[in-house]
Amino acid sequence: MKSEISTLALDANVEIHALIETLLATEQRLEELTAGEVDSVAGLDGRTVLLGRAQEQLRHIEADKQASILNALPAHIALLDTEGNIISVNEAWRQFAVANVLCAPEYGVGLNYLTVCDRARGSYAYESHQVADGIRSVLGGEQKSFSIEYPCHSPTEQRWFLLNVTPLTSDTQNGVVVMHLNITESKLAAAALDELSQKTDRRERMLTTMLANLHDFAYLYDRAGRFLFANQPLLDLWGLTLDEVVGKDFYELGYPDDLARHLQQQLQEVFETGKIITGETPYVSPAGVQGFYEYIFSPAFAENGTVEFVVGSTRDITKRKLAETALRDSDEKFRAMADNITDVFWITSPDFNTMHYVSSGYERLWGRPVESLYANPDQWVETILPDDREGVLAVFATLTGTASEVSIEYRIARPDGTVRWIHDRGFQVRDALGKLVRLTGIASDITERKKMEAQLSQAQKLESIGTLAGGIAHDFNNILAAIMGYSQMAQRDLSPDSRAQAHLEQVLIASTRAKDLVKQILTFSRSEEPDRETLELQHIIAETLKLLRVSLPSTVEIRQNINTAIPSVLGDATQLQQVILNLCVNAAQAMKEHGGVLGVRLTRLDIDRNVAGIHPDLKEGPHVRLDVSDTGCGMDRATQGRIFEPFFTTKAPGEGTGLGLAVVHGVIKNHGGAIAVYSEMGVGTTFSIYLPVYDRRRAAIIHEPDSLPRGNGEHILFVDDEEALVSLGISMLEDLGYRVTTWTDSSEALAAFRSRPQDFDLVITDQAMPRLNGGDLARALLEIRPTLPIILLTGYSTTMSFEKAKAIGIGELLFKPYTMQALGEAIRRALERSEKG
Amino acid sequence: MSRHLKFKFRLYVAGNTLNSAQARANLAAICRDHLPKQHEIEIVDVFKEPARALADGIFLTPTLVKLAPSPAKKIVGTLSQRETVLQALGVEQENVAA
Repeated sequence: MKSEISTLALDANVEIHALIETLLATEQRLEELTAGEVDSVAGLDGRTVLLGRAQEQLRHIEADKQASILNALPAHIALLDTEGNIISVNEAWRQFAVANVLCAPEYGVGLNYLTVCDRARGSYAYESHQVADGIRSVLGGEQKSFSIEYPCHSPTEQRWFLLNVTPLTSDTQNGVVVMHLNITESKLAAAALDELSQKTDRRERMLTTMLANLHDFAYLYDRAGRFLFANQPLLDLWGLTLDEVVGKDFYELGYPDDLARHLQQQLQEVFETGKIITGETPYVSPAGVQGFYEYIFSPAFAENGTVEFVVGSTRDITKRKLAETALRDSDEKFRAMADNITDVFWITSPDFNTMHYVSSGYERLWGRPVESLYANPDQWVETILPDDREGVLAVFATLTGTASEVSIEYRIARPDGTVRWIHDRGFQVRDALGKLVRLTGIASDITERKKMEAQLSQAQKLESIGTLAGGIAHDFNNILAAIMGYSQMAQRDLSPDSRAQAHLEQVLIASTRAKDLVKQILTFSRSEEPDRETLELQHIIAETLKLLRVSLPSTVEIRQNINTAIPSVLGDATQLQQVILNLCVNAAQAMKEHGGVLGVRLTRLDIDRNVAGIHPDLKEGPHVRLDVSDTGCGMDRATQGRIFEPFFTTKAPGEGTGLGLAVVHGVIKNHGGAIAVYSEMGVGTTFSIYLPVYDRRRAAIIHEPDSLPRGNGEHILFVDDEEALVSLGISMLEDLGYRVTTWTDSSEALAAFRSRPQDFDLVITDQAMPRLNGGDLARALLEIRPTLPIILLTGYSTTMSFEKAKAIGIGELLFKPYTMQALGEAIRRALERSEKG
Repeated sequence: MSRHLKFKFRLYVAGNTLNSAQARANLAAICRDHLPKQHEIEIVDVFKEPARALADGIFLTPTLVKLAPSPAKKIVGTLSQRETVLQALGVEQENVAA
């Protein structure tokens, strides 16, 4: 059986060989026929038969293609056999091998890759071992593939590789493909991208955090004025979420129309001009939160230069605004107060170089605008008179150091050349830490006070001169009294035709002149007792106006309205003339510039109880009224209220003393009268003087000058410390028909009276005596015998007056030197009164 | 007038085999040089459409068939001899000059 099969097989083999021969011959023949230009032939059954050469060509083309694909890949590719030996590598591998130190013969082909990796030492040993393990696990079928990214930095650059290991075929019988891919670029790009996105993330987070935690409101608008963004505080104010806000404008967010329009316009302006716009506005949030806000709209520019967005930021300035308002209020109050005081309130820096504040009083006192002081703080020093300057600076220098308070008086020159006295007080202002921050002070005008002080010292000087003169006058009057008394007695003893009689008359005339001179001295001293005589004011007025007319300008017309049937008054002619003169001169001066009418009017009137009740200086009864009026400039109320104050004057310095009306007032008051003033600005002024009418019964007695009233042997006690006057008194009284007992010592006289008080009808005593003076003696005598008539003789006296004498109970006051007539009349009156009493 | 004649060709190839590829390249070059804008070429791959080649009586690849203008002609080979090919196709030589 076996051989049969073999034979069969042999036959078949032969046949097959024969067929192949034929096939090959056929193909060769085809090639010849087609000159090798044919690839395929079609079989009879329609199959296409590719010629052997063409088949081979195709195979080569495919292989080349695949190799070129591998070579074209940028990855370094190596084929390892199952043992890990490198069988084949691609172009990229070769180039890599050439470029790297790991360059081995045949680009590493033939090396065992696993061994190379296992032996790796140094920087990348760890990764190399991982690669070796990975390849082994793929070769061992433990995992389908293996890949790893690892850094492989060369000395000059940073590189990363992706290593991929995959089986060549579905099983690992044909080894594995190892592929390295340089991923440095993508790695770097990814890293950069990573970093960038991290940075962006961080920035965004920071921005979000920042915007949300800003105390201010931050927001973004588009061109239509719609919100693109609003930060959390603003959303909180509105009580809205960002989604509710985005895309809405002010109107839609419920802003009042006016405000919305205004803001919208401003936004538009920023978009158009690219300028920053700021503003302030009150705003009430939907939740009712009232506030005052300050906002800034800033342009955000696009790359082409146009405004793309407007960035807004708003700050709640309610507190500041309230504080400002409060501050402004208090500041205004302070300024109103400071500007209303006449003094100058000032605040400077501690070095005096900056004037922080000076009240408007500066303009009144210094006569300069406050602005000029702000501009030049040294002006203050410059205005101080050179004599005072150094002292002032020295004092104020201490204020910047140890002295917390200074006070100094100095003079300043005003631009009009006048000089003012200033009392300046300076204080330190320190902050909580005790640092000197400000100097402040008050400067007052003390010019008037200084003037008054000067006048007062003048008045005191005059008073002391007056006292001195009065003392001399007293002694002189006593001497004159003796001269006149004895001369008169001598005249009585002499025949009327004798020459001695005529000589004595001259002595009396000279003595009278001497008496008038003494009176003038006493007038100057202003301390004399007023002469009380009955006066007819119309005569005094006539005389005064005669005197005045000469000195008045022709533009001043004098109009008199004098009632000649005016009753007399009791008073001092000299003083009353002075009063009329003063009033007329004042009136004339008021009309100095434009002329006018000086009116003098004398009338009689009765003051009833009602009027007297209103005016404390007036008593009920008949009065004469003298009006002196002018048609001059008039006075305001403030001036009217002060005109009778001593030293008050509206006249320029040097023109008046400011004493005129004060003296007038004093004189009228001394005469038991009153003075009133009525004035209207631009119309004129009228002074009215009221004087009580003198009692006619008393006047009647005085009007019997020639009859010498004689006594009837009444006993008179005469007391004077001067012998000469005692002798004169005895002579006169005995001549008048009285009995006289005299004492030169008042105490002895009192003792004598006390021993026999009913022995005397009348006492005549001098006032000025040592130890017990006239007044005290009179008081003692009246204690013993209250109805005793007493005549007090007085020359110059500061301690005795009518009122005082009356208060003591003295009936008569007789001024030395006295005439026999006056003495006789005084005795007569005193005795008559005691008889009535 | 020849200028307006439209030449219609059909080239039978056996895939991307060497001769077929050459024939295709040569035909494209000839048409470009001698028959610009007056030719149409249809490529028939016998591996993809074996029945069609058989039906058209094509036994060898590459084979070029000139379908128009008549008379129809068949040329087998890589078409590398341009003169011969042009002559066989009846393309006038003036066309070259023109």
